Amino acid sequence: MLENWPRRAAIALAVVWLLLFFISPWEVPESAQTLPLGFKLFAAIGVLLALLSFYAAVLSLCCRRWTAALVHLALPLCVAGFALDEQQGRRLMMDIPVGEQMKDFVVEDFAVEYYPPFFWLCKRAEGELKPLERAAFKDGKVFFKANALTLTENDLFTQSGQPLKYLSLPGELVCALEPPRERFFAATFRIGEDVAVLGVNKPLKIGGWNFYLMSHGKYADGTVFIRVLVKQMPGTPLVKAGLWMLGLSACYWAFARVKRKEGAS
Amino acid sequence: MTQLLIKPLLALCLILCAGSALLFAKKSAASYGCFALAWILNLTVFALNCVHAQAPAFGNMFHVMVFLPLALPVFYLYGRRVGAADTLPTFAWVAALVFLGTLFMDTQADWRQMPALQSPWFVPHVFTYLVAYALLAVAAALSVRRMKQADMFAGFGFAFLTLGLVSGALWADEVWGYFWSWDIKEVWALVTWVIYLAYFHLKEKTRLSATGRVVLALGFLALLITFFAVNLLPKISSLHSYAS
Repeated sequence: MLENWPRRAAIALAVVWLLLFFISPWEVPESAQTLPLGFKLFAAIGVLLALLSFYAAVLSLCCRRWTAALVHLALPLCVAGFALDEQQGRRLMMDIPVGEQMKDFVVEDFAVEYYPPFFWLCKRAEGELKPLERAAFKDGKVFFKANALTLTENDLFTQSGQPLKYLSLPGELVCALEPPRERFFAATFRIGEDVAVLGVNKPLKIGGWNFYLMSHGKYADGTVFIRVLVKQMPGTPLVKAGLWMLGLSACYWAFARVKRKEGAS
Repeated sequence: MTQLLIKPLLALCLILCAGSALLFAKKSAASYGCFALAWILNLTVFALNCVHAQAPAFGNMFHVMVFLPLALPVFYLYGRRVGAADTLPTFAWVAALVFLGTLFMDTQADWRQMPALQSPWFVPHVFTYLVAYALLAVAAALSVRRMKQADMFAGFGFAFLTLGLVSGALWADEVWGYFWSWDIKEVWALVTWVIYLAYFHLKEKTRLSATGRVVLALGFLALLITFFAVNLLPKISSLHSYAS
């Protein structure tokens, strides 16, 4: 019984953890969002994570192999980073109007890049448009192969190069333009004399704060704004170190156990 | 034109994989040839998808389903190299099942990636998860009769699953400033990971017994929910909905 305690404890913790996931609501309620970092709702899970990481830390001391010790140590490292972030971290979401001078910086420019337009051949049915086929472009022509229909780009674009939203065709058919899809968007920041670009997947560090571009929009007066998450998290390096340690040591562990079994057989 | 070739090629892959498994039962050497030919055709379809999408073809469910069987022959060869028994039919049937699934999917599904997906993390994250799914599917299939081999593939699958989870967290921090956002797909990925974690904390002897089989089956069920249910069930809102 006693010699089996690590495994029994791991299974018991995993089961409790799973149960907690199933009974937890998926959405963070508004009341919880006002609390620091919005993580309070998961305090119960936090306790279990702390228990699990403590258990993993103890287990890592008992591991005979260093790879297993590393795998187990990675979890308490991540949890320590998260705990530090929760206690000391600061995070806020802000809308920054483009062109307006803020305290340390100004967003000089904001650009959105779109994918080429998609045209659909649709059929009118009961007041709705039912999509039949997506167009293929070739040599300045637009093909709907399945419906044996060919249009020229002149039919679908205005003289200024803007695509038409709808083009009615014979037989209750309509060629419709799909709403444009964003490929990328980025904002240009001027901080004193320096210029830096903040894009999706391209966070920016200004004065010890990390900036993340989340989305963008327009105020009622037409002013464009960008929605930015600004955070200062002292525990993040610990979390990252723990995650890298977990991923790499898990890979090494998988190969090492096969080698070990090969050697034993 | 090339798009018209995709479904017939996938159907041919399905026939070749099923043929490979049946020929193996008759101890015919042609079974290996069929499996190899299916892999080459599968690679061709994946390449066509990449050309069509003008990017690594991992952008939608159809693309990833085409990639999944590509990993299987590599594991099969590795299994043979480390001296495991010849389990070609298991690999061939798993591949055939995936090819069958692709035949019901839309080859024209949208592949245009949203801004958050334009990241160097995209390919490693999806790639590691797909390799993990393929390995764990093989482990689940092998667990019926060859628990030792199933255990070996589950080990590799778990390592790739961990890499996928870790790369996803690191990527999320780079895009949104959060490592974890309790998205339904993330939670199910964690549930899957915890079940396999529990499996590897069982004693070696227990792991290779009926209990081990049950835990592996549970893990694979959670994996299927993570992979399919969250993406394909309507009315589920998820950060990962673009993958449907």
